[in-house]
Amino acid sequence: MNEVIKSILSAQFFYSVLRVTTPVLFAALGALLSDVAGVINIALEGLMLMSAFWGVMVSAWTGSAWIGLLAGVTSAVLLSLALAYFHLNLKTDLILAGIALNMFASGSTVFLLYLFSGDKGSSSSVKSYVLPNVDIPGIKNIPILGDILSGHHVLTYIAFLSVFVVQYLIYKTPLGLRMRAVGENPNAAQSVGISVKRIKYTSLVLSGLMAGLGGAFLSMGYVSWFARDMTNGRGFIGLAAQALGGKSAYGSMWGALLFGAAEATSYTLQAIRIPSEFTNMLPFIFTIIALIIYARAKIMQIKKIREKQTSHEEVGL
Amino acid sequence: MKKLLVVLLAVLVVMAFANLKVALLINGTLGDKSFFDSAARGIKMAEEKLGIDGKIIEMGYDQSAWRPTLEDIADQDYDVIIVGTWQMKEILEDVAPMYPEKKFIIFDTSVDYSLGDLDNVYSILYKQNEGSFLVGALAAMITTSGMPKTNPQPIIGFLGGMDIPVINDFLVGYIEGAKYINPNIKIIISYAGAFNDPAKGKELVLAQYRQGADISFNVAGETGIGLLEAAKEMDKWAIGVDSDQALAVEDQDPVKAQHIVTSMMKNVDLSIYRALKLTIEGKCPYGKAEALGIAEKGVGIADNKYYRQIVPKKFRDKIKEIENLILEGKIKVDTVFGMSRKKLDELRNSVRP
Amino acid sequence: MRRDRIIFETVRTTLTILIALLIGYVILLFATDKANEAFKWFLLGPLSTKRRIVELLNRTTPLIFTGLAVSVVFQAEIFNIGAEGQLFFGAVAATFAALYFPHIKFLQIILVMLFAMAAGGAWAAVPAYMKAKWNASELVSSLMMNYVAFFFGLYLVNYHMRDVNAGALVSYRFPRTAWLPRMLRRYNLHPGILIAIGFALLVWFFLYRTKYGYELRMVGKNKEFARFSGIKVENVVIYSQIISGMIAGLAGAIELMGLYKRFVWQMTPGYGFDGIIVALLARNNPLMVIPAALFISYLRTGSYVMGRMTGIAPEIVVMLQAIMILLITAEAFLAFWKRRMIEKSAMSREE
Repeated sequence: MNEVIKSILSAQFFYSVLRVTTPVLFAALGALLSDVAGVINIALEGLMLMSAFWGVMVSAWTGSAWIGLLAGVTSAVLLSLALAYFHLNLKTDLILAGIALNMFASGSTVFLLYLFSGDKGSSSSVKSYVLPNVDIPGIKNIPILGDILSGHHVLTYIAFLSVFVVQYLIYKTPLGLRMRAVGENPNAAQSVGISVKRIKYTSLVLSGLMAGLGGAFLSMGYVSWFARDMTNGRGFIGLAAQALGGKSAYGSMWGALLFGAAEATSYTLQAIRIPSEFTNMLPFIFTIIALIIYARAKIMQIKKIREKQTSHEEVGL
Repeated sequence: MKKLLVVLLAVLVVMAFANLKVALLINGTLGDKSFFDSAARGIKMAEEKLGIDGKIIEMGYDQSAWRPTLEDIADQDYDVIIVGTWQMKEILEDVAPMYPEKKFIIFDTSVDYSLGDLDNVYSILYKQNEGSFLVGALAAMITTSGMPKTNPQPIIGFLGGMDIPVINDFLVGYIEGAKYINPNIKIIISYAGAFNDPAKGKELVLAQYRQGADISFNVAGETGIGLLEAAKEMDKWAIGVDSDQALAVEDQDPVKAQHIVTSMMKNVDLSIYRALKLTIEGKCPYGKAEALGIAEKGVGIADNKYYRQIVPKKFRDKIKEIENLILEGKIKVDTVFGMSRKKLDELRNSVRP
Repeated sequence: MRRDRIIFETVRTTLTILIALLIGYVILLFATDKANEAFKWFLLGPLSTKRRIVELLNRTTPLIFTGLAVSVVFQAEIFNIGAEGQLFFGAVAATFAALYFPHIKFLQIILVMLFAMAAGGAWAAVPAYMKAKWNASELVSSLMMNYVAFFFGLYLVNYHMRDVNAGALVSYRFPRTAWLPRMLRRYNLHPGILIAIGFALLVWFFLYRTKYGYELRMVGKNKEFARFSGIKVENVVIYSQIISGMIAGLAGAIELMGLYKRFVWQMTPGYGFDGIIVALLARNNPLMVIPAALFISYLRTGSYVMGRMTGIAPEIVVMLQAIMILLITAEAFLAFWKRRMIEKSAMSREE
């Protein structure tokens, strides 16, 4: 028991929280980037899977992990463009198109894996490459903090840096302003000359970029192979983490960290035979509660505005 | 004249069995580098040496497809149909009596012969507890040996695919073997809950290494690929399972192979080959279950170049000595089959860190 | 006009299926040099032996149920995609009922089904209530409920109903009184398919012949108008999802009682998401759900037969399903043709 508590409070535990959080964080940022423009990107799961697959395959063919990463991210962005095209040009329902693309990614990656390697389960017989871990010179030597923060996978750092970039993009740039305008009221945005379609395309591409990085992390860092359906719901968990955190990148990050901590804890608790199902379930329940809180807050807001309006009207009379 | 007929008949029989048609149904996928890959190797071996006509069918992880596949294959003109694992047991018990003219082999579990009508089924069991005793002893010696990648704490790890009897049979042997060397040994036991989730396997074993283990025993099928990866990443030791995993991974990843001290071989390949050979000779005991241990080469330790390089000679001699004691019956390894749940829990708790 | 629309939808669906199959064939050409043989197994395999027909029927059963469940909420324009979790939790509840309710012949089967329906309905009630009360997105909440159902269900099975002597993480075996009877001696056909067809009729009756069904469809067509004409929209939002959840929960019970006689899932079986494509193909019409489910089951069985005979990964069918969903739901797909058809019929009427 003591060993377990010691283990949870150890530097390595926090290190592993950051690692487990990384793919969820990418997915959450992807969810956020499309959500602010009013698009729910259900396809994150499939986008990540696609990227995980092509990252492994192309790195094996070219012998370069970086080209693999590029290919993985490109595949996710292309699939995201397909989602945008179906939704915005062919008027397919967004949710159904997303579900279809998830299916497509799941089926096609297994089928292509079989085609390229003869295996149907995982790419363990393919010699693929992983992206490096990075030591941060200054921080590395600080006792506990160094153990937690240094030596992570390069994409883990990119994930956490992306939090700030995304937050800046959404709230401090003209593009972000337009995205938010489209998300809040597309008609109003259209009327002031913003191309709603183009903004939605842009946000889906950015969303795909994030999902692609997350997927590549899974197969080129977290583990060193591709396995069928290896995203294992992380795209959906990203949606949950974003829903938990509201419309800010920092919120998404904390949401993702909660899911990451729950997952890491469940691995450690296994040793004392505590049901991991419980720890795994908790973040989802938090998310549901958060959804209720947000929805209630929104209703209150609308009520207040209505009350204000009616009182104004009374004055007018 | 009569003699000639007998000879002719014998020739005919040989010819009829020369291309024995055999189907191996995998209830999962190949590529696990352990259990299922070993079964497939058995078929390949029988094709080369016995001239059988073999076919391997991967049924995938969709359970709704398993029973229809078995029935479908039994409808076709295969002579022998091979399935494995407990998950196929109840299905086979139901299907085999419908095809009395076909032969069925099930490995790593036994059908319940008291149900009757199962004279055409041969069950192969493995005494994984005996082999695990050896690697348990080895792990206990290594963890306090001061060898590279070790710490002084007497803590070792065990990664099981699921908390189920077959896996716990490994565990019982492993615990007893480790305690035989060091009564104060501590074992961190994790179960992944799945045989096809290597990412989870990796996380669980990273957590084990964090908690002070320096060597961990992989009993998790494809999930166990994650254990090997964790050993490489944290620079700790791993013990492979089912197949010789050091040799299985050395082509793609030589560094990983150098972290695998040995593997507890569960020779599914040899046992399937043997069963097919006996079938051709007409000597295979259908209608019965057989348990194969160290003596029958059903299980054993992988004596490869890594084992000889990494493990000091005095340890290897000790393992050899223990192996002989088991063969002579001087060490009796307990098995989980027939053991009460309470006793198993006591055993597990006795090594809890 | 109505007839034109039906013709148009029929042509569009047929064309979609043909395009998907063509893409499938082209993929097979890349995958193997025996593409023709593989494609033949894929197309004709499910009908080639009696056993495969049985396989086809058994595989159709859960798809009809989830197709119906999804149709009900989609008709009300509610995006509850929680059928997956409702089915899973229904199956867990069925396991409990099968093990602990009195083992009485026939009666227990009924009780297990009712209990599973109650569990599925209760599961769906959570996002339903959240939507009705706080207008929280049922899409996200039903998705979250899927995961809660999964982990909580596994916890209940693995820690309270688990058969420790079994060689896998499964529940105890159901007593014989909780087995659906086998309809043929040599074939493993269970009566689930009949129950499913019965439910399709029942749901059709509910939607098109009762007041509640009418209100549900009105809310789906135009929420504001429905509200205006005195329909209590919040009530519809709640009961449509609960009914949907009950149907999905029942599917879980029937799968276990008919096929496995235990709880055997460590992953969600995916029928909930399959139900979405069934409902789409059927245009949310309960009677059309039957052929739509049969069709998806046919494709899937065909892909498995192909896999068995040729070793090609059966996942190819998942890609084809995805392509079909995309094309069927793409409103602009063939829209030019629709426009022309409407113009033509308008002109002919003028004459």
